[in-house]
Amino acid sequence: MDQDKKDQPAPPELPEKTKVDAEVETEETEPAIKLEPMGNAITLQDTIDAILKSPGQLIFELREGRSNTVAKHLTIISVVAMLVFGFVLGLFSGGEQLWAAPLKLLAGMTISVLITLPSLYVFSCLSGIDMTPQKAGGMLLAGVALLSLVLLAMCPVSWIFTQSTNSVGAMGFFTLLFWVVAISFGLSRIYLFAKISGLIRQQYLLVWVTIFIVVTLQMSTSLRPLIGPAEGTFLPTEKRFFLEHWAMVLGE
Amino acid sequence: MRLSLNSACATWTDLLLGGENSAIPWTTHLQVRALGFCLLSIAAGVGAYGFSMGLWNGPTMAFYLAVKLPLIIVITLSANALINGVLAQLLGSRLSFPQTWFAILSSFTIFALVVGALSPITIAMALEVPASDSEQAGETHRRLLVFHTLIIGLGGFAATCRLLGLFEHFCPNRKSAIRCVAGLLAGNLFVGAQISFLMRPILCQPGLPVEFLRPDMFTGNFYESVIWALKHSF
Repeated sequence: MDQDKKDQPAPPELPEKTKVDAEVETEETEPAIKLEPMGNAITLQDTIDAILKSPGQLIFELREGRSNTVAKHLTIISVVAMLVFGFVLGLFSGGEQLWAAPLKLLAGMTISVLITLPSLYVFSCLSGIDMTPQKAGGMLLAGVALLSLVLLAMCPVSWIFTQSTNSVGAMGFFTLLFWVVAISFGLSRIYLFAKISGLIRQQYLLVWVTIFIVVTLQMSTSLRPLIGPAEGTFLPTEKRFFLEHWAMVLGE
Repeated sequence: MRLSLNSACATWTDLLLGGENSAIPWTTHLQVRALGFCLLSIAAGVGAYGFSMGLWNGPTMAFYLAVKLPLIIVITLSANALINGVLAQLLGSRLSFPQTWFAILSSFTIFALVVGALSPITIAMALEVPASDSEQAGETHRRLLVFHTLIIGLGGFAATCRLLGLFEHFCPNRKSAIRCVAGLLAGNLFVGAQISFLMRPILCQPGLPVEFLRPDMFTGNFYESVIWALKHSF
């Protein structure tokens, strides 16, 4: 054994990590977020830019700046994006679904936001963040606005699928996939807000994230069908758990 | 006592963050105002959660539970006040009997805030699951039991963590704080389980009548029922 060890070539010497390398590595893993105001007059375009490119500006305005204007813009962006994405989903079946799907999607998201907001406030405080219900509302709205923008960006792709498949199961799978991508972005933005606001214990926030995902999935079940032809009534008459519903949709 | 929603929110936030400006000074110098605040918070938070629990059995049961759940907490606290005070002093805290009682009350306020914040979700859930007179009622009842147990467990966990933080402030070291909280928790669980048993039905089983209290409420106890269930399970 010892002889084998002696025969092995010595490992090549690695260059010492320079100070510059270390700084780059730190910058790559933990990009600095600048908390700064958005400018003199905030337009809708400024808010969209801030959502996508400068979350620090958005956080600053929501926490200590012109929170009302920004909140109004975030609401408009979310509503329009949800309606457009819902309309594209409605194109899969056409008919009544052209107006029912966007309305249901918007209603589902609004209800989800309203019923999870109190728990976001309480769980954020338990996570060590000095939170108020208003700040929690701003944080949630920013997350939902990003989620909605990602869904809006996926509309062309979604439209291609609505026109190229007749299978409800396949369309359901792709919609779920789009939803997972969008909600991941939205929730990561909420996590970023929380981190900047002084997050200490993240387990409570993780519990809330799970609750939010489950609530949105249950809403898609309670307001079904979002995909596929409309049933006799606007809302379903039979009550169902989301796991059961999605298993049925994906099996079709 | 004049209490605005903004100041109430600020106090709740402080309590949830650790109680540096609320639970700790309240426990140090007992205040009637703080007592009223905690009791009101428990009535609102646990009441809303109780309402959502009972809603599956209909509005009557929802109102019964909105009253019964906060009552269970207050009765448990009162019944245990003496033993909690003794245990806390024996296990190393420097708190008096009323101070111990108040520390536990503030932790129950945290519990109320957690379950109260989740009550909009549980209300929506009660309205969305198959009804208590449907064919799937039995299965839904079991699912709801698991779900509510998880929520109550989560609220209890958060409240216990904050109670530990509070006792760490008043105990000479962390070890005695853990001993105190473990002792108080055991006492509260022991008595709380029996009080809940007396105040049944909580989540009314499908087929059983909806009523505020069972006519045979003093027949048997929680622990006899557990032993009976264990005997008949194996």
